[in-house]
Amino acid sequence: MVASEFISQGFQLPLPLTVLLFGGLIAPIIGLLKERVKIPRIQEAWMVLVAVADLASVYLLYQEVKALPGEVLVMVLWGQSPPLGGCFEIDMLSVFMCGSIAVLGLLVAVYSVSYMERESRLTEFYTLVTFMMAGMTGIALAGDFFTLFIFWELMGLSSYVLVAFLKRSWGPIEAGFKYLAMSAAAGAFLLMSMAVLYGMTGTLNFALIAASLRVETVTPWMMLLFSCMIIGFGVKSAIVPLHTWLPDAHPEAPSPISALLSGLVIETGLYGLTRALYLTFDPGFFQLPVAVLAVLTMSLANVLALLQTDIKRMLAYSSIAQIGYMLVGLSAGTVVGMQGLFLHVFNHSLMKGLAFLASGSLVHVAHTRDIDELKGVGRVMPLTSLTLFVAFLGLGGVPSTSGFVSKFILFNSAIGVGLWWLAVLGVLNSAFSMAYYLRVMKNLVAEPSDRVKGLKEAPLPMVAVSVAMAVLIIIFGVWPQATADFAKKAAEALVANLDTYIRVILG
Amino acid sequence: MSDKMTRYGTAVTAFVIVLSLLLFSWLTVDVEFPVFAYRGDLDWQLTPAEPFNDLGASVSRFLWDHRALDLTAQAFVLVAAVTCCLALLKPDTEGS
Amino acid sequence: MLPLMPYLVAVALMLVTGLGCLMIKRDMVRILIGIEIMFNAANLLFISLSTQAAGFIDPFPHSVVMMALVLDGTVIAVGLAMVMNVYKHYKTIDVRKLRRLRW
Repeated sequence: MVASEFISQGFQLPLPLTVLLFGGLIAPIIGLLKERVKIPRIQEAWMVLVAVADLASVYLLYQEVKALPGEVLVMVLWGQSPPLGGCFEIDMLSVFMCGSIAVLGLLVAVYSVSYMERESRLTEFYTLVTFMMAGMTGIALAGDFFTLFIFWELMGLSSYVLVAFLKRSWGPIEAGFKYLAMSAAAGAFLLMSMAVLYGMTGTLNFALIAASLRVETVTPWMMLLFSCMIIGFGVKSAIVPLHTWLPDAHPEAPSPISALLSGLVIETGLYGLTRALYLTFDPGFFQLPVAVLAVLTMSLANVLALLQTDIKRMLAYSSIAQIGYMLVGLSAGTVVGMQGLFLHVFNHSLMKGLAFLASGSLVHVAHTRDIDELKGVGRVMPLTSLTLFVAFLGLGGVPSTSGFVSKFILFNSAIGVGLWWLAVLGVLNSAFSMAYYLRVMKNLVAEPSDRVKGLKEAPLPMVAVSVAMAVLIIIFGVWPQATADFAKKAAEALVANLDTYIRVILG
Repeated sequence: MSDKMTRYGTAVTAFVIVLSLLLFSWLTVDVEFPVFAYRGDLDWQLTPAEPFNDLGASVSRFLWDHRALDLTAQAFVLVAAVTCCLALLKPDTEGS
Repeated sequence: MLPLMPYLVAVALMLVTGLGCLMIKRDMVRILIGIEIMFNAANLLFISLSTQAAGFIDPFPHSVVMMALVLDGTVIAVGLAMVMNVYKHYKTIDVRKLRRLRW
């Protein structure tokens, strides 16, 4: 039984959310225990335990949702049903996003056991990572705009402080403040768009809004609603021109947090944008504006990534470019387009997560982020550099890595809708992006500079996680059936099953 | 150089503000805000406004009766906010 | 049944004021106040829309606003903690001095 009945009849939350929220609640108590009882590494053990429990509960949730006839599960608390009460409406798309979050969360938890070993305030770190994952899971499972907003703020709040975590130096603090100012302003715009939506329909429930607002013709107020939504969700998901916080925030954060931010937080922003746009407007309406945004995002990010000398900053710009590719799928609006988008969400979380974690290992050992100073480090740290190569090949879209499969589906869908110029620009950008990846790769295998000569390989958990992720990327590239079918089910749940989604709530 | 950037930034900001004010005033005056235009059958949730004294009590009873999910989630947001402030304000000693 | 247009004008003015405050001011605490003004503009829009049904009050936006106030407060609290950390490093809260991260 997925719903856990706690204190009394009726207190039930979806199991992944329960595990993460209560795991995050108990983590400070574990930290207090660590000081009294002096058991080493108990906080890290709790974090890994919570991550494993989350992955198991997502699998259980998947089984339960698959068993239902319409494949939509509605969960309410204390029996307060929609449309007046908040609800969780779980379909295959939500389970897909929860699965992505759980997989990368587990890998990052194991990685940060050895990366964050010597830092202070570890209690707060692990608590906030658990709460950030809980916020992302809540966004994926929400069935009501206001529930989404509360979990959005939970995710955002944890991520502001995790970016500014290493507050000994000035970089993370400056990046954290810039991120907070822009993201909080976007939250205000999101609340404003919810107010306009409420004014037009009288409710904030997803299914009721889809039933009443989607079929209407577009009025000027709806265009205001559209722009407020793009601004509100777009800052968090790094759409150009609202992306300016990202190249500062992602390099300055600690490496496991950079991997979580680039791999999951911006994709959850994009998931929110997809769900909100798809349920409020007809796909024909937002096809052209989102296509223009996709072209802007891809091109600007790829050009700026070429100018970077800091390895993590280059990876941050590359994240923005990958969001541009995902926007191509959103502008297509068909089942194939959405399948490409969600498959690329999962593949990008693995690939960009691996890139940040592997370069984090390089930075951790060599204590520098500059690409020229890291010259030749591939010869002293062979395993980590090999996994970094695999990540770069996947990000560029080379066949036999999983990145190729999702990019192929994305550009195919753009051609299928008739936007052939979008597909051509996407392929050109993808080929162009290999330029800056190859530059880093060339630097890594050059002759070792003096700074690099005495270094050894990174600690075991970090290397093990990197190798595991590289193996996963190659497996999903050579045998993409499992993930592609799951992404197709998720896309169908969004696009084709909209009537079931509405009917389950309206009765 | 940075002085020119500041003046340029101020000019762009003023332009954006004036443009959005004009746009919003056109929207408000010319196009009627479609208040509850697409509303379904939702009249049961309204509270009668007539007995003014009880209005606060009945509106706040709505929060507890129908929105317990959001209140529970908000409790966790508060715990997260306290942890955030602790993480930012605790001294950062090298090694715990 | 209150007339909606004055409230829409007030919301627009508050939004624009908050946005301008966020973009122009050089003191970090004033930037946070600008964010707060924008949140309150959205709350005002919610409340003014709750009175639009004739003879009735809709209690749903009131509960939304009560919860949004708390969330907004937590964001500002974390922002102020961050301002304190910035002061420790830069000895000033002028946001124009935070330009060391370029390109």
